[in-house]
Amino acid sequence: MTGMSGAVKFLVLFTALLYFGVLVIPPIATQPPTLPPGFETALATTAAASTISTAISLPASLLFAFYGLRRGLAPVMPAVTFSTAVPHTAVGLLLLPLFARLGVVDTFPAVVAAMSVVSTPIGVGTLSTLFSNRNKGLDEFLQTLSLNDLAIIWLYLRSAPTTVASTVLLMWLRSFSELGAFLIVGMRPATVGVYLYETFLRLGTAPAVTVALLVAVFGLVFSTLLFLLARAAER
Amino acid sequence: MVILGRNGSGKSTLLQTLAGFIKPVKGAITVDGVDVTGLPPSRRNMGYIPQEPVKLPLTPRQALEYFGRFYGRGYMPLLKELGVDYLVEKRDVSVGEGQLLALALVMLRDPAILLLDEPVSSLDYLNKLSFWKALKNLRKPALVVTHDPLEAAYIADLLYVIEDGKVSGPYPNTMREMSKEALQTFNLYEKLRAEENKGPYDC
Repeated sequence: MTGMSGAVKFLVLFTALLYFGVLVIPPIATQPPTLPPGFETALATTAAASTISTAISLPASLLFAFYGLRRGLAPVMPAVTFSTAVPHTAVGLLLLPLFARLGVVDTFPAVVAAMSVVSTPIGVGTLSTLFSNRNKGLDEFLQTLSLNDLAIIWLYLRSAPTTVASTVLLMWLRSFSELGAFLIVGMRPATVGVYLYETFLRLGTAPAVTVALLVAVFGLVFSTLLFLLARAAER
Repeated sequence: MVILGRNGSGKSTLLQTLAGFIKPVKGAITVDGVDVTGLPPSRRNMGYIPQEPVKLPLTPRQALEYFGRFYGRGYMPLLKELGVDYLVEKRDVSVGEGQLLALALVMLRDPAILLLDEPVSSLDYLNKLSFWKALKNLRKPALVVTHDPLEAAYIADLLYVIEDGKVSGPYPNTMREMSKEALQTFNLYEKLRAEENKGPYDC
């Protein structure tokens, strides 16, 4: 059994390296690194919008998850989480009439709002583990101590700081990596996704691949952080 | 008061209904003659300790100070009454100490009645005895549900039985002395008594 377990372990390791290697090694080998102008601005815009979006979406996700799972509002949860099941261009198209009416299409607020719409379901999903039936007893105990729901949520959050941290990171990353909705309602100011897409269309493969590689390294760093947070949460 | 019943007999459901987490299909729940059937759990003035151990994300001192401020009440006299004042100095608590802390927090609210859903089911023998001793010190009306006949005999003033959701009783607790004798046969019990240099527990 030990031999088989070792073989499976090797297979998993090999597949993981192959997965990342297939994405990263050919571009490095074939493309000279050329970074077109505007990347730093797009990066800063995306980081700022993702941060604001996460700050807005996190409390909303908390309330949706808590009231959905612990206060009997589960039937309305799909109204918030449905966007994970559809292409985000569809989300952009659904937002378009409202944003057009408000006159915010292709503006920073539109970018932040679109990010919030797509990252809130991620927050709800991750925080749902915090409010699952596993922790039902704590909730009931605190209710009979006359705490209000906000105080109960605060105590839940204190009980799982790593879950909260990984939720924040996951929501931020989801906002950061969004493109579909921006193609419809948030092309300006250009976020990294839009910048990458436009670079590919205007300047061709080589510069776009350089940007893609940078973004991949960025993603690798944050994914490692997420993994470490998840490990810490298990302990 | 103790309600004794097998797994799935409806013990927890009964307690959750009394505490306000489940709506009764019919009938009314009254506390000191006041109908609380329509009230949420937070306004029923009942102290509830669930079956699964309560793990608060606070040190005992933080939890006691937080709820002490919340209820406008000092916690040290209560802890001394319960015989668990040592908890304040602890950074981490065991499962048993966690349940004792939960009992102290519930008592800070000074509820009209305690609802205890097998609160010692996951505790070791000594912690069980500590919990029942602390409960006895409170002299507070308590409704305890358990599946353990020995435990029921040990703590019950009034003994009821629940089966398929139907409660019958009260039955005379004729097993109390026998349960004490049974418990005294455990060396651990003797050890605890010797350590604390106190007389036998008389719940």
